[in-house]
Amino acid sequence: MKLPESARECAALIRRGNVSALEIADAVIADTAERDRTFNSHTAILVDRARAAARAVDAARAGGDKLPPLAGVPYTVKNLFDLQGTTTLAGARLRIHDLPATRDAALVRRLSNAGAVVTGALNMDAYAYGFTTENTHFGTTRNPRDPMRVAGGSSGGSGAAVAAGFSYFSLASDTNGSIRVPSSFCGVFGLKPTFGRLSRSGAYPFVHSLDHVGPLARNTADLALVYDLLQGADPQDPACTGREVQSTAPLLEQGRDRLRIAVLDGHFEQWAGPDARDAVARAAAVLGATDTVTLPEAHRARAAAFIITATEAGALYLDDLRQRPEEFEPLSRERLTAGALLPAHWYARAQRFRRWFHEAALKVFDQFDLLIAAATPCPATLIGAETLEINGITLPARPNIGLLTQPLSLIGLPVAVAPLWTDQGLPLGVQLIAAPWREDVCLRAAWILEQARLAFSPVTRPKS
Amino acid sequence: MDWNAYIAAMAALNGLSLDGERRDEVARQLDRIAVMAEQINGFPLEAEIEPGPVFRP
Repeated sequence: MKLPESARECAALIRRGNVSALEIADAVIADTAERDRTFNSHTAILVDRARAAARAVDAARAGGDKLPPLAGVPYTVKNLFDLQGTTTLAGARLRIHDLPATRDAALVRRLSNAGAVVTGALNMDAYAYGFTTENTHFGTTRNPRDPMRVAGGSSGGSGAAVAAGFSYFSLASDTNGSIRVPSSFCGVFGLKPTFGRLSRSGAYPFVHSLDHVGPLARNTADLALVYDLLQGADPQDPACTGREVQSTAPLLEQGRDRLRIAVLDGHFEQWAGPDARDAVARAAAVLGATDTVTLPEAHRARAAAFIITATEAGALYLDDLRQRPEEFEPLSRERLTAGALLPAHWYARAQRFRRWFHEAALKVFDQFDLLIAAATPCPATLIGAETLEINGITLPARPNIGLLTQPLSLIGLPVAVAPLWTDQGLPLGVQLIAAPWREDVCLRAAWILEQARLAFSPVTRPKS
Repeated sequence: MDWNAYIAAMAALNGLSLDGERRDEVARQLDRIAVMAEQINGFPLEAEIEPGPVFRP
């Protein structure tokens, strides 16, 4: 069967009885089983769980119940989220024999309450330490837009599953760029909300100081709807805000109204290659942004995020590094080890620089409501690429894909990524960055770019 | 920077046994992180600037 285009349309068809939730779930399961052999976005297809959840939706409808907003809509989760009865892998060979989770992660519970149906758990960079999802144990996740290229990371499975049409949306995480990079590389919409906006309860940690969780989807309205349903305080998560829910979906059509918008220069221009600069310029033109502005010392902000990440992740995995080093992802083991050995004052100073940079950024948001930058220096790199070249400078690829994302997540600014497309037909996302707690502004901007048909996310289907 | 003595001491302190290959790679990673640290350590920060995270009892 041909699946409906959007999550909202899927929910509407099920609500009206045009199709059953079980038919939708079975179609997604079959499609994934067949086509995901190419992309390796999934580490598990949750057949029994999905069918049971779908049947429950159909029974509710048959019983005359009012269906919740996402009833029957299939979605996937990065495999660091707890799913009751399955082992939470966090991309790690280290964890394959761990006991299964006893309950779903908080965000999964919220989506279940909204009627959505989990169909799969998704591949990621081990521990969430990477920007490419080249996972030695679970395999590389290939980019549906070009299977010779990476899907980005660490939520590569999420980017690929959404781009390939295996799910309408996906739950993922972003510490230094792990939602934004796959969104850019796979050509989907993504949202890294403000730090602490969404509950991390039941999501396996990587860097407690920097971990965010958030959704990816193929259009802005779905993204906003899902994000709104994920919001809300969670007493089990000390880092989760107690702010009231601030709905964004009803605000999308406000569009550009009175937004002061600028393009980020300095670091964000320096490390944007020609395709990235072009995407930013096109987005700026549509958004009517003629100003540029500087986030001061952004390169130092990136350095601070790097050090905080290295130290906290190294500390988290130190016991395992001592006891089971041979079970580690080879691409990450020595990164984690080095992080555990750093002089303590580097970390202490980095955390204080973070406050300095935060205050400097808030001053910029006195002048502007929305800032624009590329999400990645270039489109998706080739699988196995060891280097990338940006404006004539050759750098190691894997740690530098996040050059443009890291400074922003250091201070927890909300960022939406809207996927633009290069002349060669590859996606490249732009970051739409707002002041803390102003996800509505990010999403309005994404919606404008989508309405202008500059940003879009078609499903990549196999050529017949 | 020759990291050998540092890695040997810190590894011993932390109960890690690293063979030559792992030590070399750890040294490469430390080189990279040290470049980052220079960017932070070389930036003046007044003593009054609090850390980003603030503990609320």
